[in-house]
Amino acid sequence: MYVKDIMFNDITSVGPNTDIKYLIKLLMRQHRDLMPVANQHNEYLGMIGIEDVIYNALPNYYKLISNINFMPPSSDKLIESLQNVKDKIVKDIFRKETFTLNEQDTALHAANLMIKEDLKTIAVIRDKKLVGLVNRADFLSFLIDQSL
Amino acid sequence: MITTVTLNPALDKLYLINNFKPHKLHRLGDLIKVSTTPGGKGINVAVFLNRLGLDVSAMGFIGGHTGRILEEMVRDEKIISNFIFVENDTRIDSSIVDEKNSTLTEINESGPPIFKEDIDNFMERYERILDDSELIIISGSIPPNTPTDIYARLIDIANNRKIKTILNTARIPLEKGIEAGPTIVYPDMRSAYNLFDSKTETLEDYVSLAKLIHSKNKNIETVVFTNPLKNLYIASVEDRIYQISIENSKIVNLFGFGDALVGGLVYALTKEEPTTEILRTGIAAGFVNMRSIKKQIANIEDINEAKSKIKIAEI
Repeated sequence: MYVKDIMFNDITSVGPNTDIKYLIKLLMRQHRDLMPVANQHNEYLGMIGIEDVIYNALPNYYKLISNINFMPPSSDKLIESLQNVKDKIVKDIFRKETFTLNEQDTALHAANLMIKEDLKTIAVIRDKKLVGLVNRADFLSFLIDQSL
Repeated sequence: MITTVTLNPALDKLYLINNFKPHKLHRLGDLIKVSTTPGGKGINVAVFLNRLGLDVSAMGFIGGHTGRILEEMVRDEKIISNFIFVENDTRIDSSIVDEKNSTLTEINESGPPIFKEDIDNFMERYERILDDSELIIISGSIPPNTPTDIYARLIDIANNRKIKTILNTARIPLEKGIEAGPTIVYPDMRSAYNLFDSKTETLEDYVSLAKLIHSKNKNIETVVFTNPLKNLYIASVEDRIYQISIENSKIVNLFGFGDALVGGLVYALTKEEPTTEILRTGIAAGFVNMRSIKKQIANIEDINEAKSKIKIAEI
């Protein structure tokens, strides 16, 4: 079984100049956590998601949250920080170094990558271009269908 | 890859109800069947071409719960999805077919309004995928609040990159689109309107309108007109005019006739067949669709078999 068997052919993406406010709207409307980023030739550049936006607003948040003595910042502070992020654009904060898959990779390789790197979604690339996505949930449902 | 643009897609609901009557409760069950399929002209073409084994992507605006259902259906077909999600819900188009009384009742919603930021996002994404598109199919109506020159803009951009386009729509977006010079124009004449203030009653009317369309932009290679109820099919390819006729053209259903025709044209185009073969395949695909109650019967054997019933004469 290969990546091409479990991927879904979705090439929805945003460009580097999309503003964050609009990105958040797209993610919410589409019920998604992550969106691929592609350049004007549709070459894959990386991923951006809700977590990147929060991390950018409050860089220490993720570190602090695991601390037992963590006191959440006041909501005023949080809103203020998010206000600053929403005026930014995708290229300011997206993740450039991300794992990718090829259609010919084995499904086992995809599964390993998802588990080892704790990824929910991985982009599938052909000649540098985005051709689809592999999602953890879709992967599982595919495996269950196969076993029936 | 072939890219289909459907700015106003729909979830098509088809109810097969014998003896459909107003003021009456029709309970769905064994005798009353309902089917839900992804719809909108460009999406119909995408489904058709995909089933014939071509690499197809679908672009357009979808939204809400109905939009997500549509996206999933497109995804299940293994069509490449590339939709922009908008704030409001994708429309539902309902049709009630009563075979017993031979009636068709249609209720079509108008679709969600589209705002500038979504149009900007769409244009950006459209430019991005042109590199990978060998042909663009632009079909159907435009959703509320969309600029009427949007198809013209899409065609302009494709022309600048030397990518062929097929335009299948109606009224003002069609007129503006024609002026931008798509490669193939197939006016949607299902509802009554006068394209460029011209009549379309007789063969001669269609021929002079086709010539008028060619004169609007030298980039236009082919113009196709169809009127199945009159068994009238005309195509003008550069300066040649062809009249096409179908033997024993029994019409069961005109749903998706035009979409099957566009699918057939494109399929033959990608096989680099000669002009008359392209026209024959297009009309044959429409004809196969016309014989059956369900839309999107894309079976290449049926289409090839139907080709023998299509006569083409240069006039």
